[in-house]
Amino acid sequence: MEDDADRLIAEARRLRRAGEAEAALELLDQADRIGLGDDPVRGAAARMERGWAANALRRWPDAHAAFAAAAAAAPDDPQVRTWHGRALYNVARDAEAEAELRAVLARDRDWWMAWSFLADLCLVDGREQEAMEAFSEVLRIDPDNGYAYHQRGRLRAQAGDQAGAAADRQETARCGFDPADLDEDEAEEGDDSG
Amino acid sequence: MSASGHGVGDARASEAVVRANLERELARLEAADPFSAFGLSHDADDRAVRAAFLAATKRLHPNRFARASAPVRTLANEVFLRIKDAYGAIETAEGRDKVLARRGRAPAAPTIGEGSGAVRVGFPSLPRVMLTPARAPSPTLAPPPEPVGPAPPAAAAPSLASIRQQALDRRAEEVRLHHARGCEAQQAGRMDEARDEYRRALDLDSGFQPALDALAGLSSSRFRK
Repeated sequence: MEDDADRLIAEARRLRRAGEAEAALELLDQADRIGLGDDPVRGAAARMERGWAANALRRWPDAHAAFAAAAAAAPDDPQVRTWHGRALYNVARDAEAEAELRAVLARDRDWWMAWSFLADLCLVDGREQEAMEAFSEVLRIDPDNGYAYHQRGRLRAQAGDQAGAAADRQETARCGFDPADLDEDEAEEGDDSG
Repeated sequence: MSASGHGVGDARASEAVVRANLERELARLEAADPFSAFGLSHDADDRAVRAAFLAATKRLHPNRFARASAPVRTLANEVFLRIKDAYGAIETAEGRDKVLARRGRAPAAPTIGEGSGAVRVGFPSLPRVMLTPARAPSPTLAPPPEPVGPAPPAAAAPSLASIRQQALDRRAEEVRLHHARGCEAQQAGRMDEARDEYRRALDLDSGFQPALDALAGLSSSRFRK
């Protein structure tokens, strides 16, 4: 049977996913005040949840603090370290972010989310060839990843590989995100809808 | 929508794949600054930002998911709101400068952690605690950590229980709210919306009898004519 600490963390997750990240943080704060954070495993899980909730609220320093604390508690966990890497990027510590993601991948080459975050990091840094390779790694592990197909297709087109780009567009469509499926007017309406 | 036939509802794009992709996209966008939201470099200009926004809009516009299930539509709306927020932040040169200036102000310390307790994290030097099972598959959307290890201190349990009870009370309120919205929509003749609200109530509490009854009533009324 789940204990109360696990249920609390699960409830915070549910609140976050329901778009109530602030309420999730309040719940985790209450739990921290009575010592949940002192438990080595559940404390780390609660910090991860806190980091995701802070991310949802765009509170990057808070998210970084939470993921850093989780990484300190669970240094061997690839998921924790991956999110810590992303958090480092969000507080502008790009070199450390990349080092963290590469450390995850040095241990586990099949951790697709680390490849995906690394690809994003290469993109913002203008290293498109490296980004393309990282997206290819994502797709090696997760062949239904529409975002990776989309970005790799875009990069291939820019690099003049039209056949590769077309193949990736087809795969993007297979994942349910066919760019040709919406006409230009509807796309332009994006400014006013949603 | 064009007749290219790859949208949700088409057998070729299974809803499960679409939903998984939207969940991944939401998790990615939640952790992305406006540049990385679009996969743009920091020196992107107006044209590049606009093009990336239109490309994202074409892929992820809520209209694309109009025929999908309520959870997929909700996810799509969430994703698109994030995209619009990101675009709003960097669509002008001034906005981009602001975003980059905020990044520039952040410290670049060589350690992680905050304050005097900051530590450098290294694989070998710290106690072994794993939230992710050793042989876990790659993550999809921020998969829930699966705690292992010792139980929390017994003394904390009663208080945790009371906090959890408060959270459950809040959830019960949400259930009632969705049910009430469903009733309102039903009375106004907005049957699809009513159905969605009843289903949301049941997503939160699968045994909530008023929503079960209302949904059953809606289903049977479809065949009366």
